[in-house]
Amino acid sequence: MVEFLTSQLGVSIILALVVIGVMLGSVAYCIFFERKIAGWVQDRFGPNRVGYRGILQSIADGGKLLLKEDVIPGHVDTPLFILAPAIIFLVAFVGFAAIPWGGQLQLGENLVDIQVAKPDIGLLYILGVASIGVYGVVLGGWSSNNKYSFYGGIRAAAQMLSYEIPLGLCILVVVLTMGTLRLESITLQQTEYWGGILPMWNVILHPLAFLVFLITALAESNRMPFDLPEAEQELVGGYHTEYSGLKFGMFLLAEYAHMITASGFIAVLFLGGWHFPWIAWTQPEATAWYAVIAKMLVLAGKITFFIFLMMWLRWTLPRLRFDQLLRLAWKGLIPITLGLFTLAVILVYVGRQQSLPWALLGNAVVLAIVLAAAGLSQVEVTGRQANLPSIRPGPVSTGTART
Amino acid sequence: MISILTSTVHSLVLAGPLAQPSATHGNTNVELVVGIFLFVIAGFVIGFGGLTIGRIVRPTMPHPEKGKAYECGEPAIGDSWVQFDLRFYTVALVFIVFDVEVALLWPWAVVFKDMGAPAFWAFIVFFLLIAIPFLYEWKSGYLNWVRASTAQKRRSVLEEGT
Amino acid sequence: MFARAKARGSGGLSAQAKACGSFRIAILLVLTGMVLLAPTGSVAWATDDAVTAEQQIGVTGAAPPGGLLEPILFYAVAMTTVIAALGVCIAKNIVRMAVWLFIALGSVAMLYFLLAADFLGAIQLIVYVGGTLILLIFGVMLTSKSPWVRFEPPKLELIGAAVVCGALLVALCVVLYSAVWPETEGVVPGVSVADLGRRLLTTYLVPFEVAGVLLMIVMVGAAHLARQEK
Repeated sequence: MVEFLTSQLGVSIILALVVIGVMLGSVAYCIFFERKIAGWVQDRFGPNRVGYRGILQSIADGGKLLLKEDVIPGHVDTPLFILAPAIIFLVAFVGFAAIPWGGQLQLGENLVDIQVAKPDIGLLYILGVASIGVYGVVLGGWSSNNKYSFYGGIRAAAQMLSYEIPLGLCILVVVLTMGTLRLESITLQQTEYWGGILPMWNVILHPLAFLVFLITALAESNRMPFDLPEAEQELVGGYHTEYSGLKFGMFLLAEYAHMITASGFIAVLFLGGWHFPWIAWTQPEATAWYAVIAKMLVLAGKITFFIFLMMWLRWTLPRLRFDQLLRLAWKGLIPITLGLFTLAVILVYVGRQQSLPWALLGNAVVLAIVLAAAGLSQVEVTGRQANLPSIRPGPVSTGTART
Repeated sequence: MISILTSTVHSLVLAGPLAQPSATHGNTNVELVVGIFLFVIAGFVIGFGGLTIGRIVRPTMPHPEKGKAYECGEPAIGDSWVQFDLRFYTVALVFIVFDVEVALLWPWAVVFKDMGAPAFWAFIVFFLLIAIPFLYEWKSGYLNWVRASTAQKRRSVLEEGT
Repeated sequence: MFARAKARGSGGLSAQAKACGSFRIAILLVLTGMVLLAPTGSVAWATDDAVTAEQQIGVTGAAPPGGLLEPILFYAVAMTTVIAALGVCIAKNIVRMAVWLFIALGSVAMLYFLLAADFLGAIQLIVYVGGTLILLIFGVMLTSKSPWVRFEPPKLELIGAAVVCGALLVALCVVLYSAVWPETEGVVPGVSVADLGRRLLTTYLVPFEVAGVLLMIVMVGAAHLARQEK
């Protein structure tokens, strides 16, 4: 038994169970922090009644959702109506299987990875799982048989599809630089230093790609300013208009779980995962149990930072209109990421992919080209589309217009 | 049939204890599939367990009004399973093209560092094959979400004529 | 106008559909049998090989790697695939068919993962599950004007389908049992992404570029489709 528990498989199983537990807890508390941050941004207290400073609010929320009547309206497609929140909930968790949580751990003679699984294509696995997330939203919208829900679901699908392209291209930039699809190798390569001081994090090497990735990650997890699928003012509740009780709660939890997955993915790809520079415990050589805990805490800190950033953005930025949203993806982000991708190709071709001055120069050139192109062609990324014919309300004369 | 089943059980039991050291695994990805299974099972247990507990403790007060579609208080006209806008489909179609393109580029991106010039030129051809139609779509205005309907165009032509 | 077929479930099934159902159950049984039979042979061979492998390379443990766990996972995933594939056939509502197809494609991706074809599995997830199937659902939603499009194929089509399926089944069985399963020693390492990329740029360069041309045609086609909009 001990032999099994210290093998890679045993550690993977234990880690998976731990991750499930910790994630459920943190997802519940994300909702509490969201409300606290909303209060902070809007200059009010936020929840502060349940427990010390509202610390038990999440438990009260969960209890409330559990006790609420769960209405399944008569006009829905019942099996799919129940399946949709389950799918979106599952998909948000399955992605955790490939994230490297804390390097390697020395267990007796075995050196095991603190990672549920380390497939050859860890990065593609997370990307693939993320692309499945559309189904929960589309099915939820479709099976509800409500026009608001349906439109919300379709919108969500179009939005997630559109933003998946720049997401994939941004990751291609990282893959070109690193030459691997293994998440643990990507983390390891970022633990080197430039000039012995500056960590080789991808965020320093490719700041533009990082920014675009952050935007697309926001859009993929349907967060403000990209939360059109559930825009209250237009669509009531979007795809979860007809949901109530615990099923609604599952949609809510899944949104936060998606945020955690996205943040973990960003942290691993661009911020060196569990690596924190200048501290011996978070270096790849450290394999003792306390080093692993330190690494996990570092990764958790990075994830927390991104979650905080997403919440901050949610309560600060207004929502985009749908045509602006798609224009931002197709005419803004895709050309920029194609430019960044070309830059990465050139850098790798001339053999300078790890050289900081070249990369930053290239980023500056891409930024300048994008800004110049935007300025010269006057393509408005947001705002109103320019070439629309004027629509004047006048007498209805469609019958005679055929002349 | 029975002999096959018994032989299956036999070979499965003989196949060894549950705990084999992972060194012999190669990359059969058992951990990944086990992980996926655990996450899926845990998700189902949490989700449906919660729903079952909820079924016991929550109230059930059905009412005909609750079973109706929520349309801000108006009775719904028809259901929502209708034909929707073609533009959504176009978005999905163009997405597929890019998706497959990027999918073909992953293995290329991994080896590009080592392959040098041939990989570069192969990529340039491939890239242009995608970039040119993309530019064509852009220029023709198919990437615009808001497009003038024919009636609007006709009217604007009429206005210009008069 | 909105006469949605209320009779869902078994109550509304006609006698023909019931007959059709039993036919499908027969297929289910045959397919299950195939799934159970096919790997049994290979597992048995694997243990036989292990004996020779032990003699040849001196491996002490005679068991195939992964022990009991790997077959269990395989059977679970394979059964899910078969059941979901049957669901696609049995479901009468087109969106439910798409959901079954989603489960089937997803579990095929898991099978690829189990077979150490990591890249194929991930691409299955990204392209088929995350892309093509969404396109399919969009297409269904785009074309279906009546909400509950139900498929009640006429008898002639059913017979035709049965003949085709039976022929396919026989062919697959023949292939399965006449194939020479290569004997392996220990674990064969899967093809890594780097290998794949190298071959894509040398041996398979022409198909790679042809795929680019194909994608270009699809892109132009999409533009043409958008043009036809009023």
